[in-house]
Amino acid sequence: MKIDARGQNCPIPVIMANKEIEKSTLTFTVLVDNAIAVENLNRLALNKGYKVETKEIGADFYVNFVGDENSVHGNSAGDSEIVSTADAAVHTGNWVLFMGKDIIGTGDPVLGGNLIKMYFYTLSQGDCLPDAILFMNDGVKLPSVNDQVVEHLKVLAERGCDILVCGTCLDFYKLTEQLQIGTISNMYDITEKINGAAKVVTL
Amino acid sequence: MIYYVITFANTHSAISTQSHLETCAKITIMPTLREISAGCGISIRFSPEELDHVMAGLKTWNLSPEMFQIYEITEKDGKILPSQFIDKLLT
Repeated sequence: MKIDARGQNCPIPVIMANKEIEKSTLTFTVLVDNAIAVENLNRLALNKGYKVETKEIGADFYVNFVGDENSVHGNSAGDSEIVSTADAAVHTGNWVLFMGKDIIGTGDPVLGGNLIKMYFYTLSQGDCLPDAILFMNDGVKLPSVNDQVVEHLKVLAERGCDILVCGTCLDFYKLTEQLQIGTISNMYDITEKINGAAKVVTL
Repeated sequence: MIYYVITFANTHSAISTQSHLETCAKITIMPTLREISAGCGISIRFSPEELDHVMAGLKTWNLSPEMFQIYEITEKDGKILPSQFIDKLLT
């Protein structure tokens, strides 16, 4: 079974592959022509319990999905956490979320604090996940001391989002010991993520 | 999966009730479900295990009954089924 997704922009190759997974096809190949699509397909495979092998032939990539009946979990859904994981972790491509604050917008901090909790609640339940979430300055308070947001970030991390937290900022606010989720990172890695993204969202 | 949601007539009631309930129960702030019509976009979610704590908290809070509603939410096969939850403790 071969799916030709060349010339298709993200998230189309992922959606095409996901359709095949939903049909419980155990072995199939997706043909794509860019490295980002390969990366997103790898992530999909990981989430769904498939193994992948990628062959580069000329300008094309052949991404082979190999699953067995015991490992694939196309329709699995966990509901033990306070926030359930939605069934399909479809990454809509190459975007990152940059959090330089621990609230949404400017204005009342209590309202802004509620909005950010509701944003991560909604993001963690949806299908449109960022490749990475980057935390800097006041933003580092979210993965360290905001317990509700930490719960949502755990779900997002499980679903394949990279969570990078500025080490300098954690140190400045004396929060390094309190970091609950994410990787302590630096300006090089964070800048790389921003430069590599097609879209950067800041709230 | 079953959980409970409190919706509010306005944002200020939601925020003040949230601060009060945070002292006595484990709650989660969430956007008001599309399936529920309410005056305010902020809702408070809690699990069945927290029901007693939340009810006790609401009792001491004295928020007038027309300012909020409690729903029991059932999520089944990806569908959200809200039903109004009337608690005798409050009346």
